[in-house]
This record gives sequence, structure tokens and C-alpha cells, in this order.
Amino acid sequence: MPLKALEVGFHYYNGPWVVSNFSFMINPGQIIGLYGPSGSGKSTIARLLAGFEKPRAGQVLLDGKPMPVKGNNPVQLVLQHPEKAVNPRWQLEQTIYEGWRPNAEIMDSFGISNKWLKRWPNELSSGELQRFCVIRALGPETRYLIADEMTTMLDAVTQAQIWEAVLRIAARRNLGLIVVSHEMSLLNRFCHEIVNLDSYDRSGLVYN
Amino acid sequence: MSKSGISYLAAGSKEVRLFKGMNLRTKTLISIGLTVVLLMLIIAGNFTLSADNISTNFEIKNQPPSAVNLFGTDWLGRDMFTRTVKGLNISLAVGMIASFVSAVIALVLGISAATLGKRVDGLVTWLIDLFLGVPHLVIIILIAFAMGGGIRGVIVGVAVTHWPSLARVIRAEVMQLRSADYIQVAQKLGKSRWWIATKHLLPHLAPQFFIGLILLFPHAILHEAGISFLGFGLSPETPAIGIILSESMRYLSTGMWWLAFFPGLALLVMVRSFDILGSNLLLLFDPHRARE
Repeated sequence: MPLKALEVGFHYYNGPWVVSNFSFMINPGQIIGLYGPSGSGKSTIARLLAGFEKPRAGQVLLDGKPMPVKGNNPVQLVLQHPEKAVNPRWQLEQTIYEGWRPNAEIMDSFGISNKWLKRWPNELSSGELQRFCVIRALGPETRYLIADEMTTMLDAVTQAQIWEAVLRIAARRNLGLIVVSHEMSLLNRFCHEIVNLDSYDRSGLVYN
Repeated sequence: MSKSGISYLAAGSKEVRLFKGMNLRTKTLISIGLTVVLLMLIIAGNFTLSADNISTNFEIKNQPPSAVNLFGTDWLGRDMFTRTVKGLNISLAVGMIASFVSAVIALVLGISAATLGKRVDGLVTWLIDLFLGVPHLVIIILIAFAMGGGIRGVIVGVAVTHWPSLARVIRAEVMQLRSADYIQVAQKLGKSRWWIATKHLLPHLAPQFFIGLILLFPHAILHEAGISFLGFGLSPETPAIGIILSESMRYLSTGMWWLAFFPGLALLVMVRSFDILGSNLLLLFDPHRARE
């Protein structure tokens, strides 16, 4: 039941190719790092794999079939900026229950205090918000989690806490985990495999 | 010269002193409160003022303003104050219906332009430009005339002409929201278009919509009065403010200035209060624009 990208290419409207000829595969239970400096197309690849964008060339396959357009997506993406990923007019309770109803154990493992549920997004820090976004993405139907610079702007303690909880859940549910980051040290800690976009063949990147 | 300059400054600071020591929010709330009270008084007047005041009574015809007849009486002895308040209410009702229809048109077109693809967007944008490009009054006269005048023609005319600016605002707002991260996340959580539209989009649009609606009132009322005055709108049996003004024109030359002055002033005050109400509500709902 792998998630595959076959010779995927992408560019915005009339822009240059951001990603081209990119192939990738991940199996459940695997943790793969996606490393690359700024502008190397990491986030675009993350968005393509999660179905946020449609590839302009090639295809993304889940279990050998194209990604479902409707319904709860088995591939969930956690975005870099949590403050943009929550509705500013919703209390966090509404945000976290948007997809599913996590139990108290999960909430505790992410260090979410019950008091936060009735708060508005502008009353919490991005670290606190990001925990909500991660839990929201970890619904029962999720099989692959893509973390796009998920903890880049957080302090070391918060980073450790969030990753520890995510890794525990991923191991228990046999989730596939794609960690997008420009921090090699983070990726080295727990990734089974690291795809380095810097050394990736980018000769196919030509202006459209 | 410098002396007059100083007195000018002093006059300016006196006006500011009315709001001195209050923050912007308090000022906003006070402005909203005052305008709401004024508008409620106009509506309440419609029900409390007796219709006997505007029955023909030749004994008191052509009276200038006095303590009994605040705005004077007309050539048939009708109390102008009562006529003005009742006229304002008719104008208000017509304006409200027309601007509500207009705002709904704006909402529907704005949302469909932003969500139904490029072709619909092109069409709606073209329509917006078209309606913005032609003077309102010309289209309203045309429509009201084609529909044979009367209250229906006015409402349709005003409703059809006043939606473009609000539609443009709503279209831009929806387009911005559509690409928001949390909307895309909601899609990937398997939420339907309808669910996203009602739970995510509409709550964001509601303030824009209601403020747009309130800011449409003054335009609608003025245009209604305008074409009624010109004789294309309401008929003399429904004495809206435009009718009162146009009838008064004939008597102005005989020196009965109060016939046009007070109704005109009242119309101006009502329209301006709606304007103040709308812009202050905007400050309250959209704090980002509070300093504009």
C-alpha cells in the first residue's frame, strides 16, 4: 500500500518548473526525510503528495490508484504556518474536532491543556497552534502524514515534545511519515532514509 | 489674517472636544448609538403621529413653522412634520427592500464569480464594469419608466443598479479565502463544498455583507427620492419624500420656503445617519481598517 510519485513535474501558471521528473516511494511504517535548501521545491513536493496541488506532469499514486479528490484524504499534510492553517474565527475546539474526535490520551501526549479548547487562535502561540494542526491531521483514516517544516519555528523543547508524540502514534498505527525539513540534524535523528533534493537531478528544470 | 486663522483653529478644536477623552471604540459606539436612536425615532414617528394631522384643513393652510406645526403647513393645511416623517418612512421602506435585493444579488454574483470558474468570473466582472460604467440615475429612470413607474419600478431599478461595488468586494474576499490554508485543509479532511461554504466562508463574509447592505441604504434612498422628484418614481398617492419635494417646488416662489427646506433637510439627516452608522459598524467589525 505504498504512496508513490512517478516522474512528477509542477509549475505555477506560467512560471518555471518548480519540480520536475521527481520520483519517490514510501511504505506504511517508513519515515523518510526530504531535505533541501530554500527554494528547492520541498514544500511543493509536499503539497503534490498530499493532493493540495495537481501535478502538471507524471502522477501521484496511492495503492496504485490516483489520489481520491473527494472524501477524507489518507494522506494528510501539516503546514509550516499553523496560524494560517486554522480559521481565525473559530475557537480551537471547533478546529480540532473538524476532522475527528481525538481522545484525552492523544491530547495529553501533545500537551494540550483543556483550557485552550475555548480559546481563539490569536490567543495561542504558534507552537500551541501547531499541536492542534498535527492532531487534526492524525484522524483514524490517515495513513501517511507529511510534515512540511512542521516544527521549524518552534523552540527545542516544544519540537521534541511534538515529534515524540507524532513518532509514537506513527509507530503504533503503522503510518508512513514524510518529514520535510532543511535541518539535516533533525532528519538524521529518526529518518530511515533521506532524500536530498540538493543532489537530486534538477537538470530537467527548464523554463516552460 | 493671523487672527482669523487662530479663531478657525479654535473652532476646529471645539468640535474635537465633544469626543475628548474617549478612545476610538467609545466614539464609534456613541456614533452608532446616536444614529440608531435617530433612525428609530423616525420609524416610531410613523406609528405615533396621527393621520388626522395630514387631512385637509383649510383653516390652517400655508402656516409658517411654529410650536404647533414644527415644519409649518402646506397649501391644503396638512402638517408638514407629519408628512415628512411619513414620507421618510416610505422612502426608508423602499430603500430597504431595494438595497436588500441588491445585496443578495451582490452576494450570489460575487460568490459565483469566485468559485464557478474562469468563464463565470469573466462574465460577472464584465457585468460589474458595465453597471459601474453607466450612471445609476439613467438606468433607474429607464427601468422605472419601462415598468410603468410606481413602487415596483423604483425597487427593481434601484436593486438592479446598486450591487456592483459590493459584488466586487465579496468576489475579492472569497477569492482570497479560497486559497487560504485552512480551507484547503478542510477539503482534504473530506468536507463538502457546501459545508466549507457555510462554516468557513459565510461567517467571514457576514460582516462585509451587512455593512455593505447598510451602506447601500443611503444610496438607494437618495436615488428613490431623486427619480420620484423627477416624476418617474412613486406616484402622488404614496407621498414619499421625493414627491413632497417636487410638489413643494411649485409653491417655493410664493415664499413658502419651509415646504422644501425641512423635508430636504430631514432626508439629508437620515441618509447621513445611515452613512455614519455603516462606516462606524465597519470600524467595529473590521479593526484592521480602524485607522483609515
